[in-house]
Amino acid sequence: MTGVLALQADALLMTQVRAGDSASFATLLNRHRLGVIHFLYRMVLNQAVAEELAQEVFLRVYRARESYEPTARFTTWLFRIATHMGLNWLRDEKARHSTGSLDASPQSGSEQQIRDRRPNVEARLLNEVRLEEVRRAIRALPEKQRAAVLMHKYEEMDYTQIAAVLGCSESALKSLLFRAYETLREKLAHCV
Amino acid sequence: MLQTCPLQSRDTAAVLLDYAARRLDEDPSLALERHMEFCAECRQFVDQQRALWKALDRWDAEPVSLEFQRRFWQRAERAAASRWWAGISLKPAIPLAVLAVFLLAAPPRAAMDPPPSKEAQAAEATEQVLEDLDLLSQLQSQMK
Repeated sequence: MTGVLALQADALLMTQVRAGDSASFATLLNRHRLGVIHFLYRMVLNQAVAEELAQEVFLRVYRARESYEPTARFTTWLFRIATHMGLNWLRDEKARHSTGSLDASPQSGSEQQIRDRRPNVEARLLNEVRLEEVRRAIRALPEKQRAAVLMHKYEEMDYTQIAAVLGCSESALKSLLFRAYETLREKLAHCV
Repeated sequence: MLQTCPLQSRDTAAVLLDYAARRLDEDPSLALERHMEFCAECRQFVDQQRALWKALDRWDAEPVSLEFQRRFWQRAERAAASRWWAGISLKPAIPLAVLAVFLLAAPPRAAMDPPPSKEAQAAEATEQVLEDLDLLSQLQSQMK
């Protein structure tokens, strides 16, 4: 029920933005920026890039406000743009560094945490190693599977919405997610 | 009780993903639990999926820049300003622009003529001196 109200509120706010009320857009920005940035961060593995892409996502939405029609959920529209931008960035990055330098480029918190000398260094290092394995396993998934897992697991979006974002049927999405989680279970079996 | 095992197809296995993530409603959860009492495969699937879920939970998102919203509004303002300029019709200014380009591009008339040769310059100077002498002699005769 709360979710439905939030969805209605999003559409209503966007209708007000279309009528020229920028304060309503500030509310939408405040409500959804973390979700979009976190999703993009897990897609591109670089916080600065994720924030830049998120800026562009919200700018596109803001620029398109005059043509907004509440036909789909606002978040579906938002995440469709975010997914498109994230995947494009990954493809451009792959083209730029075809030798897989993504291993070196992600801005992970590992170095910062290793430098952070606290008593339980060993436990922190172990946790960091496992976290890196999680990142690696997700990064190794095909792009569409990766986006689906990130939206399902971390953004807690339902099948209908994820399918709408990715432009596939709900049945195809369930199959996609099943394969993705199967791969992750195999790859991370030793550290779960 | 479920009619068929959810693991029979990837589509129906989604119910196990939802159950493992604790996102399944109460009634289907109870039905699945009754099924799992007899289905070791589904029990194993749920256990492994829950362990995976826990592993994925380790990955927290990074903190977001406090400047994010301020930067967004700056960009939005810049974008709006550029749209304002883009909205101005340049049609009436086109003839003026063409004329200005023509005037700026066309060299001055003097610059278009070739520079006079040294002989021509000398002849012109001699002519000038003769004219001056002529004028001087006229003045002298008038004074007399």
